[in-house]
Amino acid sequence: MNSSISRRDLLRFAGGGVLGLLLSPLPWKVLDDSAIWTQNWPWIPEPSRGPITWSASTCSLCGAGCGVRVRSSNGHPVSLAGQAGHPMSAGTLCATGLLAHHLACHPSRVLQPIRITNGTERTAADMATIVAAIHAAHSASTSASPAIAVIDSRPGRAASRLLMELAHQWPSAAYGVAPQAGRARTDLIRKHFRTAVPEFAADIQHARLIVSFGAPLVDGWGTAATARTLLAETSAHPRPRLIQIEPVRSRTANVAETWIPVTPGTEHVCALAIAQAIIEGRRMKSAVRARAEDAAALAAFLHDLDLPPAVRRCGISDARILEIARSLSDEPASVVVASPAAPEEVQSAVLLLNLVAGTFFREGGLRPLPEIPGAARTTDARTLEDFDDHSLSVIILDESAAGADIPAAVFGQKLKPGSGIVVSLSPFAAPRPVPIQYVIPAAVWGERLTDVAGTSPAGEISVGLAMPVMPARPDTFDTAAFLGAVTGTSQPSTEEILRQRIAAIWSGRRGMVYDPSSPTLRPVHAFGGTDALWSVLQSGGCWIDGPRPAGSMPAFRFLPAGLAEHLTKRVAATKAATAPALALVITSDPLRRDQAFDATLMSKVRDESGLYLPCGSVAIHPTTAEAHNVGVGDDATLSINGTTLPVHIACDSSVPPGLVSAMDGDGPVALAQSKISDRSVGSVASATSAPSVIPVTLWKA
Amino acid sequence: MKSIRWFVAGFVVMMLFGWVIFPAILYTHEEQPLQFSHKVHSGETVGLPCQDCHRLSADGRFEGVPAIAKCAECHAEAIGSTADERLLVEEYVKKGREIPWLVYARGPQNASFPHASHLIGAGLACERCHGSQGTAESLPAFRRNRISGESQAIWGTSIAGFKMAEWDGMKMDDCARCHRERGVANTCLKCHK
Amino acid sequence: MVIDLDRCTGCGACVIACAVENNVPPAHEGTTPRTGLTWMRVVRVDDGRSFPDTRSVFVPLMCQQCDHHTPCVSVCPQNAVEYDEETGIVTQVPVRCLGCRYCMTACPYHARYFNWWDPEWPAGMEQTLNPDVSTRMRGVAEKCNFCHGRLQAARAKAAAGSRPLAPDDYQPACVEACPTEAIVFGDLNDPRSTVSAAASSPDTFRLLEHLGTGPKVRYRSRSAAVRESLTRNSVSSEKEQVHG
Repeated sequence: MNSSISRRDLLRFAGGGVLGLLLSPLPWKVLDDSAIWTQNWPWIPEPSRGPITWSASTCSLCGAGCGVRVRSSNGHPVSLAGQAGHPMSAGTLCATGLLAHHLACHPSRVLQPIRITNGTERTAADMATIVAAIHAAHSASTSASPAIAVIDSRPGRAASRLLMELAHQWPSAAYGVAPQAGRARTDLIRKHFRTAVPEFAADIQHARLIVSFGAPLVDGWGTAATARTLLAETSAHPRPRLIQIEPVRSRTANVAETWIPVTPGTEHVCALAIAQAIIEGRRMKSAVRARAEDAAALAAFLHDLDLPPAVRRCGISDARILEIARSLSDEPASVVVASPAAPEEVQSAVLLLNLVAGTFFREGGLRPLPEIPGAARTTDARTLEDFDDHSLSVIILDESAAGADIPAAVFGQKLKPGSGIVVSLSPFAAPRPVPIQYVIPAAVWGERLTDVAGTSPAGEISVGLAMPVMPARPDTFDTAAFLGAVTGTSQPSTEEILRQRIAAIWSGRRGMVYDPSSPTLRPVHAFGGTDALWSVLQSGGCWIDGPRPAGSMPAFRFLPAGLAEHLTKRVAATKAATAPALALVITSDPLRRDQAFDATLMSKVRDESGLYLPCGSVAIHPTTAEAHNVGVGDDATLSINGTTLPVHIACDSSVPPGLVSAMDGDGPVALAQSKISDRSVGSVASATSAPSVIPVTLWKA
Repeated sequence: MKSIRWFVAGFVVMMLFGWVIFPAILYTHEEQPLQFSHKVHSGETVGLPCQDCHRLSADGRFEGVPAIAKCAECHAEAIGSTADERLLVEEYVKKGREIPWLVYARGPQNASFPHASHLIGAGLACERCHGSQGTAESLPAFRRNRISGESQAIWGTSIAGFKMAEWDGMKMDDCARCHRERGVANTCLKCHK
Repeated sequence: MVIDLDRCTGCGACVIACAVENNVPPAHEGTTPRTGLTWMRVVRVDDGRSFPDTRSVFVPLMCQQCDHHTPCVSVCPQNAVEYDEETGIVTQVPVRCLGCRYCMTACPYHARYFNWWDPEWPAGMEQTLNPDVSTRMRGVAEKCNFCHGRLQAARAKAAAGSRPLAPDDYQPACVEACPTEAIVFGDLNDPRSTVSAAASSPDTFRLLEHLGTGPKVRYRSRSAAVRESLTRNSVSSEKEQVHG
């Protein structure tokens, strides 16, 4: 027998094998399983599985104090929504707030102390080194002026008190605050009154007529509930009349009953002209005239200003001005508001108009705000600008709660040349123009307990607690922990200082408390004590206090010292100014109020849909584009006071010809991805001296 | 004759491979982190009702595997002296860690199975899909399909896909068949998510 | 669903709430409005007049849930798009999708989106994914399904309470997020529902009404010009300009 295997045998074996394989489950099962595999690629993340829980908290991204409902899976928040009955936000959250839980894993998040050199290079730093640098400045300080500035990005928090105490303990340190629009306005108001007056807020909730000089009322004015107040229409609450006086058609102008395009830089003239029309039309209320010390002087002043030539530059007809004057004096619940970003002459003129129209101390007008019991008074604190030039060795920035941006140039001006350092307590370290050397990692929303003090559209104030809803990162600090590390002493914890504040609210017995579990609003005195209040606030509730009782208007002056001169100068400047061929108008980006951070999903309304003008883009009228030989999507160069910036061109026929419209803010996501330069249109414009009219030139790149 | 022999040999070898060896290598053989006896807990010894651990919450979500806190209610200290008991108390209960159970009936992430609709809405018994787990003495090894990554319980114990019992295998076809028989809508997003 | 355009400020809260709810990933490097994933997007529509007469309206745009002659259903070669008779929702199963994008071409509302890249989340953000919605992959189309995860959860809750699903049991994320309550959601077949009342108002219209696709998303505006324009003309967005 021949035992060798022939080629034919092998083929037979293979043939049998193939048949056997086909009759076995192997090929079919492999096909089926591979198909399932392709539906669930292992590199695509899967949502975690686990118990779903609900909790309530307060948003602390800005100071509005919205109530948040948190849905968590496996103990980690997966989505946020408004608390339906919340007295501050009435169930609303803005787009930024809806993403608060994403900030903990932002690509720019810092989780250990870092040192920044040459503006962009980041290296790990040692906490001990930073503390030593601060101590060195402290011990080397000999002169009377402070060597360390402790700048609070959001004054009025419980933690603000700790920062002030550090300044008390260390003679070399001084407490300061980030610039606040509300504070500047309060200072202006106080000049009109001889007696001390509190802060005021516009009662948008009850106003029937609102004349707005560029105020972003539906776009970041308090909570998003303001937009609802303005747009909702029920028989109990008919839609208020909104007259928006603004150079470009903003979102607020778009929903306003009337949009009056005004030439940029002439808003103060327009406000003064309306005031004059009220006076000359003999429409000033007798109650106002009775309390005013200088009604005749005001009439003479306005007459001497010779407004008509200036008004012609506003681009608003006399009939319009008369109509607004008539409406303001006829409607008892009316108020005039200005954009917080408006220059001082506009703020002053708008206040003057409010005084003439008699909106102070009136429901639906400007109403006095109550004070928060136990809150440290920060209204008299200085800002970084108020420190002596080149006097500071260390600037400590507490940016653990986002606040107003400080212009980058101020830092260089205040620091000691060569040796001064800036230390920021911040959750993020995106590239920015501010010369920060060290970043200490701060906790973000949901990681640690913080407090939020807000103001509602009805002029109420509130205090709420942002509760921890996710595990805190081990090496992050809140203000209390950071100060403990700096001073080497044990500081009271955030919880202790918050409890003191709640105790002060309890002992004041003022206001109401919102309990999200019922949900009800009950007076403070109906609670058993501090502990009962504390537990309601911990469960996502808030304390709220309405505006002070209207009361009567104290005696006031229309023209405090210096105002007449200031306004005369500004009106004369308007008359004399030659209109630039092309002027820049900056609109603040409501989704990036203050330094609130863009979460990565914000790409949906920016890069992915263009709903918001992307950073680095400017909008111009098609005729302006044609005149400058640029088209939609073109790359162009914009020159602002000699600084040139690359920009993309977007055409928008609602932009007045001759204007260039841009959004403020760098868009930190884009910055982190190094898509654009750190010099945004907004940051360059804010460094210019005359913020009202910014002449620019534009040419195709 | 010889020619047939080689053919048959090839046939038999590959049949054996496809039917016997392939299923053995297709699935992993993973032991649970610790042993657990349903029989002890639900039977005469302890006598807990199933719902004590496997609850349907009020919002309709099925809390299938109890959290460690549930175990800690009784096992705060070791009961008995087995190695698994010690492991449970020392490693999980005292440290507050969840036990990483390997869940036999877990489906792929793109399918959802609302227990409430099936238990209350359709009145099905747990055993209809899960078999009589409640009386098992011990936990069998978890077997994961090496290609698809899913549990063997989804496909069923028979490699050929034959149902060995009513509860054996819960593929999309099995879901669809039952929906068809009961006149329930068979649209994709009824189950997919 | 009825959307009151007079109340929309274009704030974008609905767009964000939608992306959070449906596990839509952030933009991939190089994403444009044409390639982005926005199940819901808000588009500004101008009336074509020039300054100072320009009037604009913000139009929240998502799958219009066509009623009959649903274009995407009829062109899908994979049966990955279905019309759910029970709810009237046009559903899409991404895992079944072949990626041919016929449906995107067929959709007159440009409300369908394609995954040009695998989804990527910053490290740690996968913990924030909604467990009720599965993640998708590169190469499949997706779109609004009226928050299907919420519908399934509402169904389970109703079943746990031994009662049938009621129209008020759930609201899509955009409806919940809208600060001005511009979006009303409910059962259009129930004549007593708020949404039916809103839908029967003379101010209410459908986008591209003449196509006869019978969308179940209705829009309303007091402005006759807005109604006229949107009923006839395609909503102009950057996405559409590129599509031609």
